[in-house]
Amino acid sequence: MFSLNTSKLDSLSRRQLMSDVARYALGVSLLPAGMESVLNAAEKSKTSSTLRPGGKAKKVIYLYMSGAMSQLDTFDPKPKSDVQGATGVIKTKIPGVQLSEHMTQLAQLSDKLAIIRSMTTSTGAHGPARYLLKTSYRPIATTKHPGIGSWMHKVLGRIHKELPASVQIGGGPGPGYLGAEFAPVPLGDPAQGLQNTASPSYLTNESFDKRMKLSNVFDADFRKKANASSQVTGYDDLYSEAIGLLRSSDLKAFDLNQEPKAAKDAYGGTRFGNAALLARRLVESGVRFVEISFGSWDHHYQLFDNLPPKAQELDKVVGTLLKDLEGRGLLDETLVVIGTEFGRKPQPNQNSGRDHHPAAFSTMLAGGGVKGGLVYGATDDKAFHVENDAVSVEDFNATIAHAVGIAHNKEIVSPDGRPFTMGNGGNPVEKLF
Amino acid sequence: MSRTLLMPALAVGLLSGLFSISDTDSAFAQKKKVPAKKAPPIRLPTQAEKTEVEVAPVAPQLEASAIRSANRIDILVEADLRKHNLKPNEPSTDEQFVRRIYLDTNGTIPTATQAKLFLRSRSASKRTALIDRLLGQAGYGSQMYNWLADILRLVDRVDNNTYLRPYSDWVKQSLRDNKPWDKMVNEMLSSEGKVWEKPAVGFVLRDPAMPLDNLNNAIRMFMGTRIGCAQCHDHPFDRWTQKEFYQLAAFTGGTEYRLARNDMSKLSNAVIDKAAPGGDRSPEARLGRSIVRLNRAAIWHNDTKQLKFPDDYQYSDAKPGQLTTPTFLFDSKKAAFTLPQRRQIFADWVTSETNDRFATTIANRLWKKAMGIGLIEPEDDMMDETEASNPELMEFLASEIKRLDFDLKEFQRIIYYSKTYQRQVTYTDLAPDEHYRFPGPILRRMTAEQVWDSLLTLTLENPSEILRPDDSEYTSIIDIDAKTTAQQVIQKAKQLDAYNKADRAARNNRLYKGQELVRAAELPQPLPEGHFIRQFGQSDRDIISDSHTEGTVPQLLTMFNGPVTHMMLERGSVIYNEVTDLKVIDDQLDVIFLSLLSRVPTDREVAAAKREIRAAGPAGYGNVIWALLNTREFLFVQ
Repeated sequence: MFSLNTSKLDSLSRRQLMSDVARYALGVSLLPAGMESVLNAAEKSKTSSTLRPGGKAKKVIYLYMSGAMSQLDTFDPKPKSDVQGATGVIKTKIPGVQLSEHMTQLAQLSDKLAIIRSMTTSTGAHGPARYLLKTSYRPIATTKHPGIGSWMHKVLGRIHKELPASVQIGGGPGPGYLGAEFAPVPLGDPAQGLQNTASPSYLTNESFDKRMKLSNVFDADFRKKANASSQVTGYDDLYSEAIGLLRSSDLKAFDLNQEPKAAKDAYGGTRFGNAALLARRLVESGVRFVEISFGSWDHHYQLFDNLPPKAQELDKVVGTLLKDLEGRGLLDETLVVIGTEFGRKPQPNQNSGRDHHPAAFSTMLAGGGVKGGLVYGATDDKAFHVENDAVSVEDFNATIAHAVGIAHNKEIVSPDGRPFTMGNGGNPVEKLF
Repeated sequence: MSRTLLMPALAVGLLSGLFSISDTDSAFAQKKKVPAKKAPPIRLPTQAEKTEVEVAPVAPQLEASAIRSANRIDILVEADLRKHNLKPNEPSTDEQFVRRIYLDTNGTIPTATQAKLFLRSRSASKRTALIDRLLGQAGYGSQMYNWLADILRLVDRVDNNTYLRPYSDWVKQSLRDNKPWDKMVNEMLSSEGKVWEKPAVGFVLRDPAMPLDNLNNAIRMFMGTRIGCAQCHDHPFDRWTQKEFYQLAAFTGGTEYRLARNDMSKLSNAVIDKAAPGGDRSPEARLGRSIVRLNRAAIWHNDTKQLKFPDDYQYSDAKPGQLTTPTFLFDSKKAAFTLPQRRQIFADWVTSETNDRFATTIANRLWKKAMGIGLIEPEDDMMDETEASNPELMEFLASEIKRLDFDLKEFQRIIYYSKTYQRQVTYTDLAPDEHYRFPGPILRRMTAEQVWDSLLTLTLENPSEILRPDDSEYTSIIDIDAKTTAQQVIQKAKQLDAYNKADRAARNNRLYKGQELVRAAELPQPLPEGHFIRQFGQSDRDIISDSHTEGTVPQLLTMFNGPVTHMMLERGSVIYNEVTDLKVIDDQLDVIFLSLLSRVPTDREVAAAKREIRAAGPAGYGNVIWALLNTREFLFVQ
């Protein structure tokens, strides 16, 4: 198949050639453009016909509760059990459904939420479980798997030609075998936005380009030697992305100072609040996927003292975000996700904490065409085991894929020829659509 | 290129103090009026206090045996390559070698002078001589520290009640002293006391009140094995049962994380608040309460406390709530011991010479550190059926680390002596699902700490000797015991308040454009997420070995515009001084290329650089340096 495209090489510039070589090396596109769409059509026809259409979501704001959020103290309280501890409950707008007392705003907004109480995963170690949650695959030594942002970038493309397709605030998975072209842009402190975007005053675009040209001369021998290292060639994509971004007139999407004080206050002004506000700015400007890490929820110790402020902050920020998105008419096209790597063992330990518990936990979806006012699945009377409608992490990611219009069985082939799907064989939860 | 044209250009460079003045402000426009008043220039901290750091030297008498062992490595690697019809890579050039060995042993690129010295030497044994010298230098300590900090998840504080910097400093000092690895680990697993009395307790305090997680971490870090799944149920992919997990955890079942309450029971929050003249909201009350809490964090062994099987234990081989009996993994024979000895017995078992996984794990980790990939991958998920890509070599390395009594430095010396290490790197991606056969090391991007420390090398003289102020004053202020009264705690709180203010002010004084210019190992652990080093991939130290070397857009923006990538252009920087000391442009370009890439420029590069300097004047020097910083060749280790 490589030979199919070589005939076109004459007409390609060297830059394009390089990026094509990188693409082949990375296996990003093993088929010519035309062929790929044929394959997609074939795949679509394979998709189960009973599946209700998703695909309304163009963008995703993914809120990752780092450290494993307790289900009992947030979305799946068991007030009648002896494991509930000090955490009380409140009513929601959904008849018969209660949330923990910390979720006051979300209880008010429950008609917009799809709460999944029957999540289950296969490992109780933070690192591997986090990796599984974000990539649908278990970590292995020979390849790295991309996260949802890179998937959306690869399959759906960019919305804005200069702004990145995906942004991470506080870390997240790399592009894996998709290579640097599909790498999310990581940010640290959201209040500072994207740092180092201001060039020294004397440096014009022309003199910058001159410097880059000089750099290319100095680097020519090394790049030739390392042209089969995807990590080295990946830098070509990173440089063009960085330069494009620097010169974008929409760079201010990253600048929280453009927001009125009232907006910052509404989001609470915390790091997480700022991150959510920045996420809203970014999706509004055409970023497809924003991931925010909020932690740590690893409450082995004094959970009933340490969790409430965390849960209340989550409630306030997500409540504000949903209302803000709705007010701007963005909620229908933006899927808001709350995910976490696993749950917490219901029986409090000797330190009034809850230990790791992969067997059952909760997540939440809202907006982006997902039905609201819905609780999916249930756990037993202690939130220990999933009682019905179990949703694996793979199913959860297949559901997100479906929501954004990526067929859950849409395959990407890695450089070593292995096919991957966004949910690793998981099935979308149809009832959410 | 005419000398007469360049000289005035350079003179302006000298006078203006910056290589990077505007293009238009060149030698040819030097008559232009300089604005009368400028803000005082930000100065590099070239006068920072230096401390001589003692690092254990390699033993000269062991050289012959190190050479023999290195040869053995080469024989085993070459046999494996032949078996798979592969050829070893070419030997590295001196230019590649000098840069790589400085980065691998000292965590930084060499200065131009250091590189030149090595490249010019005609001595046949110059490589071994350089290896030996570098292993005894200050940079060795910080380089090893950065490596281990990522694995051990070293932090200055776990939370507001758990101060751990003394532990982190102890790790660093142990590496400088080259304390044997088994002794280090044994101390981590068995020490008792407060962290500023017995710093090694920090290993257990790192996971406060989480003995089972701490056990998982210990077995994963030191024995390359993951037993964590068996904490809740039988391991789905490995042989471990939940019963075995609990029986191993039984050894540490007596661990206590808090000093017994009666030790400082008088000093309740209410008592401290009452003693504070300003009341419970005053800073001295707040700091006083904090001092008491910090002193409660301590590890001690409770001889009578025992671990029980969990209440939800689901298998028939034990009952929920039943007492556990300490039993080793892999090793069913019961050692005779009493309850008070449990913890020490456990530490001795982990670090025993007969514990194959302990030796294999550290040998494989150090091999991976030098070569870029392990003989066993992943390096911390070994199972019974796990086989190294080259089993004979793995076995040999494990036997070597035992023979050397876990001398980390001597072991690395052997690897560095080998032809295998000294070959050119493999420049291509690794084949998936195929073992790497080690025709040479693999091409790597510098670690975050290596990038930072290298930029520092271009900027400040002997940056390894600029140390973080020690914390002995802090710990002596906060230290209290059972006899301390509430009034004394309030006194200490006032001292602490004054100390904190002075400490912050001193730190602010050291800053250059908001950055503290000391080596990565001397900065706070971990750094805040926006910091250069975090941006380039340092971990937040939450999860074992979580650092990365992936490129990202913000990294490039930092390379383009960040203060850290421009500091070497300031007057008084190392490279500034070296270049301006020279008068001939070819010599200057040699120094610039040697400084950044440890090699002299090619003719083509010289021509391009001269063209740039001719066109831009003194600013051209800055542009050349900037352009070199933005090469992949700078970021990657060949």
